[in-house]
Amino acid sequence: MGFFEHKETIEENDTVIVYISNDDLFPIIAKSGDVKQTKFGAVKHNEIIGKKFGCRYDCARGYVYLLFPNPEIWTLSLPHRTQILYTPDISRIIFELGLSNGKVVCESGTGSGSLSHAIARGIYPNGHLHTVEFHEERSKKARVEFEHHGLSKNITVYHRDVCEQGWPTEVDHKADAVFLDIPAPYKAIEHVKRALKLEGGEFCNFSPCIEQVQETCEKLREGGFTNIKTIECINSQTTVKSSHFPMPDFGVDYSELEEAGIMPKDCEKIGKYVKRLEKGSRPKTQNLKEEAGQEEAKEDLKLTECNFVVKSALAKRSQYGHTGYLTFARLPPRDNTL
Amino acid sequence: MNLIKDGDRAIIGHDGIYKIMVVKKGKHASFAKHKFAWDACIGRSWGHTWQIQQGKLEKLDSNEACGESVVSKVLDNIQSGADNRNAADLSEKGQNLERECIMEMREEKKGEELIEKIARGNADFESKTRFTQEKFVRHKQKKHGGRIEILKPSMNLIVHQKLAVERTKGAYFDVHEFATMIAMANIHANSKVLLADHSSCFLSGAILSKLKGGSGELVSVFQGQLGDSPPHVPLQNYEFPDEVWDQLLYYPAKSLGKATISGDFELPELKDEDEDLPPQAKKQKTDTEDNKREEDKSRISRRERQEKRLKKYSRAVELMKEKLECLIIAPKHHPLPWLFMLLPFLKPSCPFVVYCDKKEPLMEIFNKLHERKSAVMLSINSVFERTVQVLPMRTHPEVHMPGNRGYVLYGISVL
Repeated sequence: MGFFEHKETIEENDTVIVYISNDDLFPIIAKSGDVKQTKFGAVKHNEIIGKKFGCRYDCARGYVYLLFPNPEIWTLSLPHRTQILYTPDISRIIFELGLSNGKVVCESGTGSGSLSHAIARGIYPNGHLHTVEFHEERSKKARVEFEHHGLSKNITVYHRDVCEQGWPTEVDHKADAVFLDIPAPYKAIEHVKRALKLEGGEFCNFSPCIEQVQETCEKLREGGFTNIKTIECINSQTTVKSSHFPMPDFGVDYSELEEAGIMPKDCEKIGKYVKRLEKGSRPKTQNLKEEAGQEEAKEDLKLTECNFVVKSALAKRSQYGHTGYLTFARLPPRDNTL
Repeated sequence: MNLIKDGDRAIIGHDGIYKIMVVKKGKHASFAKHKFAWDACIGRSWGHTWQIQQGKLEKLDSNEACGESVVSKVLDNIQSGADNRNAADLSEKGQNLERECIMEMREEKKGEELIEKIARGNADFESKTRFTQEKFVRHKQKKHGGRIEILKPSMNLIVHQKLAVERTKGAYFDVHEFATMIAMANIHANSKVLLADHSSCFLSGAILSKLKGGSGELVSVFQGQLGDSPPHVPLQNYEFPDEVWDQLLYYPAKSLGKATISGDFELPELKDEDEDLPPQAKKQKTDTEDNKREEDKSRISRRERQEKRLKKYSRAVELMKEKLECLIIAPKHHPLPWLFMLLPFLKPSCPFVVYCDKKEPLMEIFNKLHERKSAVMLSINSVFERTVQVLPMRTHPEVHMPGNRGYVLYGISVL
């Protein structure tokens, strides 16, 4: 299938992302006869082939959505073979490297291919990504994945050690941009210079540890790179949820406190809310609707008194904070005659 | 190999501060109060660093391009102290040289010599530590050094430059939000993109540069009436070829209401020749032959313009009926009506992004989408970003960092 060629209907052999929630999504390859078990029940491949991407699929105990893959949801759902890069860092890398249709990029290490898919999108359809991975199994798995996603003409995976050998000689002075995410990037700077075009190009390094960053920046300065800048980005992702706050009990009616001038007016009115269970919803989620002043209770409604309801954007209890430092640099033209 | 030509647009800058200028043979330009003539760089490669010396540009070799060589050249002959225990207070007079003196010297002396003079003119410079001295030299180099890079305009440079200008006006978004929007909307050269961008063409320019060379098309829904076109002057910095301009299509927001309710997309009529001519042209109509020829010329080009616009409108309508693959919304209005107006034109299982500098409107959109079950993967994203100074024994995050610049809502449409 073409990862970047959107289509309407699920066909045999397509990668489909099964979405249960923001934290629970995974890819499947649609194959007649296969079945995937999920916490809501079985997803039968025979039934999904022929359905449209974006549709809802009902399982025994709930439902899932079937989505067309793109690099962002691929990053969140892909099978991890290594620690990966996430969208906040990826989007900044793609932007600063100045990727556009037709550019040539060199990358190491390939890892699980999270960034590779985003780079491929940045240079699609006429560009090329040369990516090096020193772990043989991982390089093979990545190759198979790219092939399945219709990206083999845009991505070539090499199994080599980029610090010892760099990228293949066919790629010498052909790259517009180079990206490194390896344990010792300072050892590969000369190979980076060999890969970058003589007219110059962009470089980016990702390192979790400050020591790696310091060593790399030194080597970049020695190597003649300019505009060396290191940044750190931490993304905060929130979803909107209803929270309710019960009103405290001071032993006296709120109306009396309001009359006495202690409480501001209308303190109590904001308190009432209605809790309703919606039919067909997933067992653990409930839709809360605030209806101030509603007198009559319907059959499926429960009137609960004096709870102040507010909708707020809440981050998760624990989320990805520091992933790594991004260092960007530019190599100026090396031909001093021009 | 791409070389600098007379008339090209260029990005001039140093140390993250950029300016867009036009290369003009035989003329002068100015950057950071340094005046220089363009001639020396015409016919040379993009990307070099130049030293402005006595109004002329001198190309620096690649090993001198990184400013660190200046620091070591200046400080090689100056002693430094062990620590700052005897350093003068910041409030006391630091520099012995007068400002006018320094400005005069800028004309005569070469970069490092000038910085060395300024350094020696600083009170008690030699008693300061090497780290303090280096910080001083880097700061003066930025101010008085007279170095510039001449770069070919590319999308990220143009955006950096424009956002830096806008930032001083209390701006709309910052680099990270911008990069996030472009990435999350899943745009590549063959994408069909729907855009509501009222941010001085930041997004239109960036998206068009991504669509270059592919079969993608951009439908821009702009604030205006039937027959208008969206603003495009800021896009000239990109110097797009005609094929890319052909990928830009548009449709006015005022006609969209009717289109969504009745399904009838209005198109502008081709106006008759005499109608709508400006009054002066009508007056001149009865005059000499010369005037008649002029009038014919303007009439033809007006007709051509109208036909071109009609073509763009028609193609935009076709795409909206077929539905598009990516949706980006960054209006200066409340974003909720924009999203619900444009979401029906997005295919199912396609991403959309909405930018707003405040969180609350995005929370309202989130709720409504959740109620209607029109989208999944909903999240509101914002970033905490800071620059890190990386120097031996002096690595730390920088003191100043951008405050919160806004929020991006992301979601994927469903059936």
